[in-house]
Amino acid sequence: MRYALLVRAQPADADGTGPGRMHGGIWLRPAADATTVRVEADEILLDDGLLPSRGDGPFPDLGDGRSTDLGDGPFADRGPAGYVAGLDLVEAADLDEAIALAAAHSRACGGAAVEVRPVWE
Amino acid sequence: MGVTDRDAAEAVAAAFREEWGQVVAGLIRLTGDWDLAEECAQDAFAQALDRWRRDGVPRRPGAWLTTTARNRALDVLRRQAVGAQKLKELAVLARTDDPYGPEDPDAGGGVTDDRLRLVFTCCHPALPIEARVALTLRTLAGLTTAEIARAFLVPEATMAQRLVRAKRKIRNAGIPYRVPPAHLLPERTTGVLGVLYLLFNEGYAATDGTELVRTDLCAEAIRLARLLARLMPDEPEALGLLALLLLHHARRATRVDAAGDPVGLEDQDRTRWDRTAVDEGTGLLETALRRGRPGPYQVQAAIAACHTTAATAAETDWADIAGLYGELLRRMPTPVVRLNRAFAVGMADGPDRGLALVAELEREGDLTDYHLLPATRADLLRRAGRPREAAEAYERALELVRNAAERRFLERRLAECRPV
Repeated sequence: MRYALLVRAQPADADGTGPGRMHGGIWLRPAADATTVRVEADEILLDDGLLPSRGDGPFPDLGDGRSTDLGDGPFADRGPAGYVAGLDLVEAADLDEAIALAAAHSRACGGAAVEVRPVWE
Repeated sequence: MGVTDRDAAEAVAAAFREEWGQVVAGLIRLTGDWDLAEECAQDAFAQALDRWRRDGVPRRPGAWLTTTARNRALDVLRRQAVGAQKLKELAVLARTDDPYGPEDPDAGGGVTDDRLRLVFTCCHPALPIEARVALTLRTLAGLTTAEIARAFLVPEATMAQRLVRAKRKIRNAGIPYRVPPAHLLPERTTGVLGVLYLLFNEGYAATDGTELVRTDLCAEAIRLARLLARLMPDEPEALGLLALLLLHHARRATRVDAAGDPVGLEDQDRTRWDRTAVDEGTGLLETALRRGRPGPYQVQAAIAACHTTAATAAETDWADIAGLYGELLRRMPTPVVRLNRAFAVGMADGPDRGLALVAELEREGDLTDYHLLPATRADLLRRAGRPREAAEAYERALELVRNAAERRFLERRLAECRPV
């Protein structure tokens, strides 16, 4: 499968972009099919395309087990979505492989969020 | 064969509980089509009701259902003119099993793997957490969309949409149908266990009018945890989770009173705890701990075991519990675990020690909106013989609490702290 890796950045990092000429294009699957990947402290954090994650993994059970507040997941602090700084097209066997590529990207970009979007084909 | 209608119906119901996940999981692997798999499985169970009444219940109902569902899928795909190779593959598989014959000793392994594939795919971290829970209940446990919607208190259309979106993402984003490779396995296993725990908590936390439906969620979570523990015998955390759920579930009859209000551990009638569940839970925990690879679920199960094996509330080994929370904190350094540890330390070493730890949490401000923070402080103050301050803390907790039953619990405590 082909995936587009979209690197997100904050507006402050933007360079001026000049006018250009259309070269070609691809269509991407909608945001609902996207997965956002970000590496933080060497941990790969995933987020489904639409909602801020409500947290993963085991939740502590309290005393009598009455509390089930899940808290906010890793992406609740993402703040303004920023803008798409770049796009890579990659070929991967499946989403797990694409996530691994995106994680390498994120690591190289200082933990920037990388969105994995399947290419419509 | 002399099968009554009732026998047949019971056999189908039993087979549904035992075999649904297996039938669906196998069909998804063969066809790659989740909707088709569900439809054909449903169809096979409907046929079973008819045929078993007439021909008798097969010796291996699972094999009968799998074969019938596969044949059905084959028909559908043939009509859709699917590639010849896939059809041939399906046709071969559809022929191999004779459900009325003796058990094939080699048949088990592959089928088991399918259910494990299914659970890992349903719980893939790229799916929204709500979808993971719903998909697991639908495809692996066989609950209907309506049942899942009711259990999660959302309209059926919303739940249906959630399931459709999840299946679409699995297909469109290329989420693989497999047990993850070794380098991903530990983390993904944690994810699967987390989904089952969340499912249990959804049922466990409900103390309002919907409790009947929601206790079923606890039972489903235990059933799925049991399956996972069987499918992953080398994973002590899977055993730990099952132990934890059983130990919590053992107290289900006493956790709320007749009015639906929560009852604190100290005031629960311990003679009404489910001893069978306690014994099974503690046995599983021992087995898990013998592997020498403790994890958060085993530690939490050990904490739960301290409570459920104490003959009276006064005999609870709080020092042990405080130590275990320290252990849990090393593995899960969250404010909520710290709060629990603070309470346990207060019970073991005196309220003042606990209050000091609570004060630390308050200073750091991570749990400012969490009603159990002031509620814990209030409880420790009450035990320290400082009712006036306790009352203030209960008032603060009441500003934050959302659940009506918990509100009544806190109000009762508050009233006890006020001078008569």
